[in-house]
Amino acid sequence: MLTQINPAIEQFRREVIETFTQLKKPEWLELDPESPEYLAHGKTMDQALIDRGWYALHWPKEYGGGGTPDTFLRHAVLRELEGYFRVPTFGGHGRYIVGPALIEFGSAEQKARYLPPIGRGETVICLGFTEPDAGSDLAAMQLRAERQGRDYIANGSKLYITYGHYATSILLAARTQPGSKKHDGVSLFLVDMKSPGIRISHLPCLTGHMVNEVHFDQVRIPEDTLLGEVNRGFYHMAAALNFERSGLDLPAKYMAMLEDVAEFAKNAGLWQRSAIREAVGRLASTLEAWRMICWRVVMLQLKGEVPSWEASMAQLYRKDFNPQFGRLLLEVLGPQALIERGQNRSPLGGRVEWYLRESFNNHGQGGRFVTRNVIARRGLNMPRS
Amino acid sequence: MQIVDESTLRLLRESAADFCKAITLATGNEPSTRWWSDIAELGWLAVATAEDQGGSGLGLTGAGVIAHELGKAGYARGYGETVALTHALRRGLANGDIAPSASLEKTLDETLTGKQQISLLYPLGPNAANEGLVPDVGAMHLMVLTLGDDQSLSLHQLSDVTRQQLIKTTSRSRDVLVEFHQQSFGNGSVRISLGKGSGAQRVWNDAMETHRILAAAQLVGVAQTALSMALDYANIRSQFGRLIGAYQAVQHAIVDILACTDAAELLVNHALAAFDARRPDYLSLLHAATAFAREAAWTSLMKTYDVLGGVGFIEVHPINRYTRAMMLTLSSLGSASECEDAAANHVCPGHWLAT
Repeated sequence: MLTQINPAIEQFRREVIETFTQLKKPEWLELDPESPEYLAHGKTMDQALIDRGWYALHWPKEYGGGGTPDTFLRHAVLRELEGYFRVPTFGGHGRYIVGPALIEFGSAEQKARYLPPIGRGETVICLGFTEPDAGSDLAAMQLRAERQGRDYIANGSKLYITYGHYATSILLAARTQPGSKKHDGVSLFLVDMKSPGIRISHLPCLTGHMVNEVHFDQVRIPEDTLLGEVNRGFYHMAAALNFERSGLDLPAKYMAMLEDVAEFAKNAGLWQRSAIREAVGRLASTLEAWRMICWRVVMLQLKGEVPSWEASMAQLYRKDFNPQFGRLLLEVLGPQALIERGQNRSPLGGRVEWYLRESFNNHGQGGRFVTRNVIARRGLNMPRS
Repeated sequence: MQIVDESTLRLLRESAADFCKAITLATGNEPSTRWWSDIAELGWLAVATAEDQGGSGLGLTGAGVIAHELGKAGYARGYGETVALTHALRRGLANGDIAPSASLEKTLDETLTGKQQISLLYPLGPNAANEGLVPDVGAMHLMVLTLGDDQSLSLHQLSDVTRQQLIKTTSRSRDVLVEFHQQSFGNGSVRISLGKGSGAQRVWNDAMETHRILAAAQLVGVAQTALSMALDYANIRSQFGRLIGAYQAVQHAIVDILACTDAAELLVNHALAAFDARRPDYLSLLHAATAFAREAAWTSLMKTYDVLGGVGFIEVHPINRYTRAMMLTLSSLGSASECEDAAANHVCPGHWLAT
């Protein structure tokens, strides 16, 4: 697993740690993640990564990536440390999902048009997959894009769209061949969010993050925005989501949070309570285990294999860990955990209260039950219920 | 620093898996009476010992592979501990923490050839350091490593009389009840004084840490066999007109076993490699891995019983052999709380960056 990491990678890790240690700001942890100030920090950090050639490190050299044989490992190390330092980002799925998808499926013209601005951090791309009646059962999507001359006309809506309120483009999955089998007849398009007919409704979440419903009413989509093969979009979509499936940043992020909470408990004289120490130890052990599950995904990708249930396992760890972490916060801090950021009595700059709400965020890409179903079928070959 | 390449470990694992397939308890075999001498002949008691000391030089990572495969076959006692204690004593000698002697050298050499088992004493209670259980695998000699209140480190050879003081335990194996007084050793038996003070304490700590991580590797093996049993049964047992493996509740229980056993295996291996390399984070990883593996083993067995239902509780079902075999090793790690407490002690700002 990690045992074979070579000295060059270790050196890179030290370089990233040093860089993030110098660049980190206390405000990263204190600001509302949707506030303009936080997003400004995100832009600054995106630029800092771009300046160092790290933003699109995992891309091939001809598109601005690292281009060394160990680039993928370096990218994994970077992702982990971005999580640990809780580096803000301006967001968007361009860097991790759409960029690699363009490199894999895009035409030469699309690569030339879209990749440079993504690599410069200028494009914010959201993913338009989930619909009101197609959540866990994504293949049930209904949004249609009908061919009309050289264009497609889209009608329908997409739900729970992260970044939708400020994205410049959406990677839209639309049904282009009605009547075909469930997983067939879907195509992917890169649609300009300023296209006439797109309307956005905002849905603030428990964590303060914004998700959106994006409505399409007679939206004209030029055919040259079709990504990959027509009617093969569901499979492209699955492949695109595979590009960033390790989730390595998450256990690292939670480890930093756990360190914060343990330090708080020590300073508050709570460390003598064995129940708290045991909970911290249990969660630290789980985080190390979760980290190994994430690295397994990276190592499979490094060998050119496509992780399937192994990536779902990494997601399952996140979804099972989150509630335990919220519980620890309440045990350590009691009612103090409820004081929001901005109040002078809020512990750890208010981020405890935010962590507490974040611990309920366990539904993305299928909830805990759905994730277990996926692993049962794909990992253990168990029969469908 | 000792780094073993992946291909060597793969070969070792394949070889161990082949051997363990022949003696596994999972298929209803009776436990092998020769397994200790067989693994000695294969050189597996010397796998972690340096080549210039008569071993294979594959470090604790190599020993972890064997411990894991033995655990899968239901042999969850004795091996990891003997290898761990031998390894720690060799290190203590190399570092000058304990005094060299001909009797110690002889003991360590005999351990590599299977004549000698070295064990810890598992105290019967928090205030009972002078009496405890020792798992006896049937080697010619059985030594117990102890650290006295005065930080004196010693090896004691149990007398034949003491080795006959078997006590019935869940393991249904040769568990010896040792009451630590002179009679335990008998006339002419060996007691090797290894030293006193901080050096002795360091060796003791090293021995305990090494024992913990190899015991964890054995427990992971046990848990993975439990997973196989649960999965096999879910795919053949029908109730209410369909396979029980088609029910979500059963699927989710088995996925939970897979989730914890997979992660435990990866984490234990990672900790072993960190230990061999003496990386700055090795102790933190070791305690995390031990706590996680201990919990994974317990959870896996319990959920396997849930899946098996009544048949799992029938004495002759192989799962019961595994449960019995595992318990003493599991309890030797201390309580879940103690394991979690040990892991918590490493958590402080920036600890995770110290790799």
